[in-house]
Amino acid sequence: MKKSVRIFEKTTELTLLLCALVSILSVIFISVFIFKEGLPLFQKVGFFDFLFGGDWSPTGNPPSYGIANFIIGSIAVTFLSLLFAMPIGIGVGIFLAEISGKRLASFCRAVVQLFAGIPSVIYGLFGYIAIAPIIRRFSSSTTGLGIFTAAIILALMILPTIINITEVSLLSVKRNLREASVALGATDWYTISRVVLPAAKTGIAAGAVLGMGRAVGETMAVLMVAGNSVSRPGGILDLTRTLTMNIATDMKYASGDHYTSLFTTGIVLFVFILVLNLASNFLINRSIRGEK
Amino acid sequence: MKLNLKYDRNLGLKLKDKIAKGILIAFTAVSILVLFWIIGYILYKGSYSKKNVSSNFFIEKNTILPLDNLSEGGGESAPGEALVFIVNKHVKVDGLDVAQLKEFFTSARNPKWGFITEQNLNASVYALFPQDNQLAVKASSLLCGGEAYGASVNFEKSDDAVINSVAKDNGGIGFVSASSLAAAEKNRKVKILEVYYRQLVATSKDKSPSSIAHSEILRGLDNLSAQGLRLADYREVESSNLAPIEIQRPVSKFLLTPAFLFTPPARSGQWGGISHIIVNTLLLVFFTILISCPIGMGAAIYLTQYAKERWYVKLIRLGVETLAGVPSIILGLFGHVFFVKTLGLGIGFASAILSITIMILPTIIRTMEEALKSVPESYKEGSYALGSTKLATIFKVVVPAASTGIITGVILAIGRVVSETAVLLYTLGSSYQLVSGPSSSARVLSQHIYLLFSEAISFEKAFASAAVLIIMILAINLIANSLIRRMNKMQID
Repeated sequence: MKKSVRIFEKTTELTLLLCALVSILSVIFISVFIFKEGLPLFQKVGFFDFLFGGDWSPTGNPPSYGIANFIIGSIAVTFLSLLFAMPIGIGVGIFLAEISGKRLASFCRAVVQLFAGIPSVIYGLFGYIAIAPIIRRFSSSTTGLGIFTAAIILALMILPTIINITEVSLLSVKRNLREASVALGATDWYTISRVVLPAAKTGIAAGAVLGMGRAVGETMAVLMVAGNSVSRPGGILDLTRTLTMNIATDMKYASGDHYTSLFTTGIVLFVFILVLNLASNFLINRSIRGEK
Repeated sequence: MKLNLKYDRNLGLKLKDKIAKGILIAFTAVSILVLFWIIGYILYKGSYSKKNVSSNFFIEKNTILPLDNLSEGGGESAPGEALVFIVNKHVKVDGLDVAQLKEFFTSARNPKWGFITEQNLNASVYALFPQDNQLAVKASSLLCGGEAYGASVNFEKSDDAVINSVAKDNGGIGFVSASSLAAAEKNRKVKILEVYYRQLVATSKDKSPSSIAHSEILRGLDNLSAQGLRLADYREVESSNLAPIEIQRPVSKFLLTPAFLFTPPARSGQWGGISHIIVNTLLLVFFTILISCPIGMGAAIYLTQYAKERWYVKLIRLGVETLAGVPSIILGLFGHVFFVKTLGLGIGFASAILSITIMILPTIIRTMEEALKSVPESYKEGSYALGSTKLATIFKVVVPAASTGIITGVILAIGRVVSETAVLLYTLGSSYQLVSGPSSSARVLSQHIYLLFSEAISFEKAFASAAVLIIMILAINLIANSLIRRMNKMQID
């Protein structure tokens, strides 16, 4: 091989490696900058006061930065949405993987993909105009907004994630397990519920965690339907503000310590998401290893 | 006995099977229906609006405003004693009531059509010079109540001059004597306005409703007098100080008109259309893809063709996974502090493109990796056997073979860029002007929807924009799906 050709080959490989490094560099930069901007707040506000303080009045005198209510809001909205989305998502996943014919399944898959592609502003708009009035009619809520509505919308948004992962992990269950079960005289449903589902449970759990991550990180849709109240929610029909909403709302006018505190909120959110992602990665790896 | 029991148990199991399957089918059906509900609802709300509009005047098909002897029947006076109002064809209005007309002719500042038609159009008002003839004097006393015309009114000497001026001016409005009606009708650039001058009042002072449906009036005068109401000329209402009753009228209109798509927005999006915003969206998509695709492509090629299971390759994969999970609001924060502030790019197009590039990189890398992986090993072996280098094999054999998958990845990435909002909130700004450079603030479709909604500017426009966005997403999905189908077919062949 000519020397010039080899040099060219090497430089190209190096360029490609650089391209591959962009994403890990981005993650490092994101972490560094979010932490650099957010950490200085702890010189003025105690770590525990920030995390567990229930009073958020950054423009008050003296200002007070406590994001406990937003953490509660985020957790409430996320868990409720998982509660709605998990049964339906797993159900649809089972239907696609085990029951439906090929044609129907590919149609449903296209629909699910479309679900995932709908922009979050549109989910938010839909929640405000279509879901909120229904909630208003059938409950004591005056606005129809709040945790419950936000959870419904989030459930719709994370449904595709859960369906996809459920389907993939069901399909990856070995064929001989099924055959053994059927050979023992088990019915279809018995096979699915007692053999296939337990075998795929790690994968499904990974899907749930991934969906949780999406729900915690979602901003626009919850911003439009959760009501954005800084007080502590007392029930599922109450208005709330999540961590993401806090950043999106206050960035508009924040300055000084207030601005810093939004990055501190960002750190909390970021750590939360990182933990969830690591957990789902761990689960996915385990389910793959389980197959082997 | 034993046999019987077994039979029963089997039946029970089969029933359980059927019920379980039924529930799963129901779940799937409900999910699909909900999706169609969302899409259908947004498309319907975005293309068609129906709402109640209240007015103090009775809307009727009457093109003549009589100057004296205002008759009950609706302007049967002799020609010459009446006015006809004309507007330029560009103005999307069928008729105006007397109060609105007076507003045009007495307004001190330059009046705008937007308040009535939502068009971003300055109105040019033309009137007959009040000293030239009797009719013009009467008209001025009617329209201005004895005071002078507004500062922005232009005067013309004759009816023909008014018609010509209105025809030339896109926002033109003016009046001529009723005898020139035929001349005005002949001019193709001019439209005759309907004039509403009758109002609804109570016959007796006590017990009158505060508002009434328009259809009630259309049912006839007998019906009105039975309710203790009558139609009165606006001058009678004014002179005897009567309180007009609001008339509620359902107005329906199509929102997704060409005018909406092709006119620029004005007054924060309340008036006009979304042309600038669509162009901004397309530009953002174009430049983001231009930057992110080569990087993503390079990364995917490296990961599939070069990478061995080294520690840094694992790290790279971890990086891609982590980046995919970072919420967009965090990327927005990062974009704001890094691109906007640290690099000093300012809130604008460049910062937005770079932030959103980081966001879609994992999507692109993953889809392209899948595409490259699907190329059969035998292709590469064939190429090597012919003596070509690794680089030549990759770029002349592997990449072309994976092209459909790569294009699908690009299209899916476009879909993500189009639907993103949170990253852009604090990196792109909110100006609704056309992008003019890398540091110019702008807004894209998804952001426009959010701002119209959150600032309560116009729900109608928000829905219409949402319908446009949904149509874009549907188109992107259709293209991606057909490409995926073609790819699958090719693999089977």
